[in-house]
Amino acid sequence: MNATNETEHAAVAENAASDGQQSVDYQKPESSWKQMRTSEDWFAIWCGGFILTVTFAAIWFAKPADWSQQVADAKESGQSAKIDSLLKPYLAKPGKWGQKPKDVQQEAFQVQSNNPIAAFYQPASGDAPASTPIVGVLGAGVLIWVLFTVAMWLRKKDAGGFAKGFPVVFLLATLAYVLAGHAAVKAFNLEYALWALAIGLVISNTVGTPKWLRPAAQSEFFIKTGLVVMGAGVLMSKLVALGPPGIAVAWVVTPIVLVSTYVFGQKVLKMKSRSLNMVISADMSVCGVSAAIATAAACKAKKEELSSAIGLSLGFTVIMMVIMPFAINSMNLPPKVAGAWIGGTIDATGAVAVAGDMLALEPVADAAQMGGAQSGAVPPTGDSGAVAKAATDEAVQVAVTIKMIQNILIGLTAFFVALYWVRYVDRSASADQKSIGLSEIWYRFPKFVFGFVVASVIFSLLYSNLTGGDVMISSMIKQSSKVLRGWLFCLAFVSIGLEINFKQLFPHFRDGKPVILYICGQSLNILLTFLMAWAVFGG
Amino acid sequence: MSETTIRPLPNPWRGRLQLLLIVLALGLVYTFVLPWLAGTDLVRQRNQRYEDLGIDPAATFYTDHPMVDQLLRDQ
Repeated sequence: MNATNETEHAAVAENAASDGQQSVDYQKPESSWKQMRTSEDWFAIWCGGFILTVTFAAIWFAKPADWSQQVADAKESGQSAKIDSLLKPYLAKPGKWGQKPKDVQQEAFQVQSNNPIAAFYQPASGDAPASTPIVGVLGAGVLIWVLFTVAMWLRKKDAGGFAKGFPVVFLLATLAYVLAGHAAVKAFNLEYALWALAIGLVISNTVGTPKWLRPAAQSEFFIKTGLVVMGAGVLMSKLVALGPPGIAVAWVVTPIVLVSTYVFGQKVLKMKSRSLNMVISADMSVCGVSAAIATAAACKAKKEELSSAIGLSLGFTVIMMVIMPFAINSMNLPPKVAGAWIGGTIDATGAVAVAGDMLALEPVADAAQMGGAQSGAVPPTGDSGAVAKAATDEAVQVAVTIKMIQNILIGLTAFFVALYWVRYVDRSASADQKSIGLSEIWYRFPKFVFGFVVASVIFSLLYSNLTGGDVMISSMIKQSSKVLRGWLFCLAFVSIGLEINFKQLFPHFRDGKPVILYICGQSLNILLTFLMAWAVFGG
Repeated sequence: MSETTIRPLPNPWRGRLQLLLIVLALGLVYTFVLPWLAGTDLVRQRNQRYEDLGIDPAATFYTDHPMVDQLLRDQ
C-alpha cells in the first residue's frame, strides 16, 4: 500500500471514530500476503475451503467402482443413484424429540420422547434401524475445535484460550439445537438461531460471560467460515428449476424490493445506521436469517444489528405465516400463483413450506391447467378432496422452489452489498471524499465473500459436469457440509449472545424505524410479488 | 461485523437468581406446555404431514428441506 492509501485509511478511521455510526476500524494497511496469513476473512476462506475439500473427498472416495453404470441404470429406470459420504456417521446434530410415536410398535418410546435425551436417540422407523447422533455430534465438535484452534494459532491469536473455552460454547450450541428440536417448537418455525442467541443473551445478561470463555466466542470467524461452506449449496443450475417465470419472481422482484427498501430507509426514514437498514432490507426481501447473516458480514454490521434484524424477521415471519394463507384462501388463487406469492414474500425458508401447506385451495380445473397434471401432482380421478390436496402440494412445491432460487441469490447479494459498501459507504466516511482506486477497493473488500462465490462456482461446475455429480454434490451437502454449516452458524449465534447485552439491542427499536422499514418494505414486496406471480403464472 | 464492548460482570447473586428463574421457567415450559402442545391433534397431524412431504419447518436454507431433491427431479 502506498502513502496516499495510508493517509486515506487514517482519515477513514478518524472519521468513523467520531461518527460512531459505522464500524470501520481500519488500521495501517497490510500487504495482501500478510492479510492471507493473519486476517479473519482469509482464514475463513482457508477453514471453509478445508471443510469443503474434506467433505468432497469423503464423497469422492465413497464412489463404488461401477458408479457410472449405476448412474446410467438409475437414469434409465427414472430413479436416482445413491451414495453415502464416508463422513456421514461422524457428523450430525441432535435430532427431533418430543414427538408422539407414529405406531404402536414405537409406543414404548413414548415416555422417552418427552425427554430431551431422546434428541440423541432416534428409534427404528420403517426400514431404518435405531440410531444415535452422539458420535456425529462429537465428531462435528472435535473437527471444528481442532480446525479453529489451529487457525487461531496460525493467526497468532489466543489459541489456548479458544481451545479452553470452545467445549463450553459447543455445549451451549448443542443445548440450542436440543431446545429447537422439540416437535412443538419445530412446528412453529422457531429456528435454532433464535435459541442460540437467547442462550448466549441469558448468560451474558445474568451471570455475565466469564473472561475465560470470551476467546472462544468467535462469532464473526464462525459466521464467515459458515458462509464459505454454505457457498457449496448455492448451485447455479438450480436457478432454472422453474424456468424464466421462477427467475422473474425471485430475481426481478427481489432486487427491486431490496434496493427500494434500503433507499426508503435512508431517504425517507433517515435510519441512523446504514448497516442495520441494509440487513433488514436484505433479510426481508431475500430469505430471512441466512440472507441477514451474509449481508451483515458483507456490510460489517454490528452484532446487535444482526440480532435485531433476525428478531424482527422471525417475529414478522410468524405473522406472515398466518396472514398469507388466510388471504390466499379467501382470494382462491391458482396454485402456482399462490405458491409463488408465498415463496417470494415470506422470509424464512422453512416458514415458506409451512405457509404453503396451510393453503386450502379450491379443487378447480386450474390445477391441471397450470401444469400440475404434467408434473404428476394432480390425480386423474374426479375426487375433489384429492385434487384439492394435489393443488396444495403443487403450491408448496412452487413456494419452496421460488425460495430456493432466492436462496441462491444470497451470494450475489453479499457480493454487491460488499462492493457497494467499500465503494460508497466507507468512502463517504472519508474526510476528503476522493474516489478510491481498485487497490483500495481490494484492500477493504471482505475477502470471505470471494470464498463464498468461488465455492458456489466450483460446486456448481462439479454438480453439472461430474458423472452423477448432482447425486454426489447433493449427498455431500446433505450428509456433511450442511451439518457443519449449521454448527458454525449455531456457534456464531451463541457467541453473539455471549458478547452483547439487552441494552445494546433496545436503542435500535426505540424510534420504531426498523419496524416501519420492515412493514413498508414487506408491503411493497407483497404487492410486486403478487403482480409478477400473476403475470408469469396466472395467464 | 464490528467488535462490540463486552459488558462487565453484573452483581453475581442477582444474576444467578435471574438465571435460575429463567432455567426454571424454561423447564416448566418444556416439561408441561410443549409436551401438551405436541400431543394435540393439530401439531401431531402437521408434523406428520411435514414429515411425509419432506418439509423442515425450521429450515434456514433450501438444502434443509428433504423434499428438494425429489422436487428437482420431478421438474
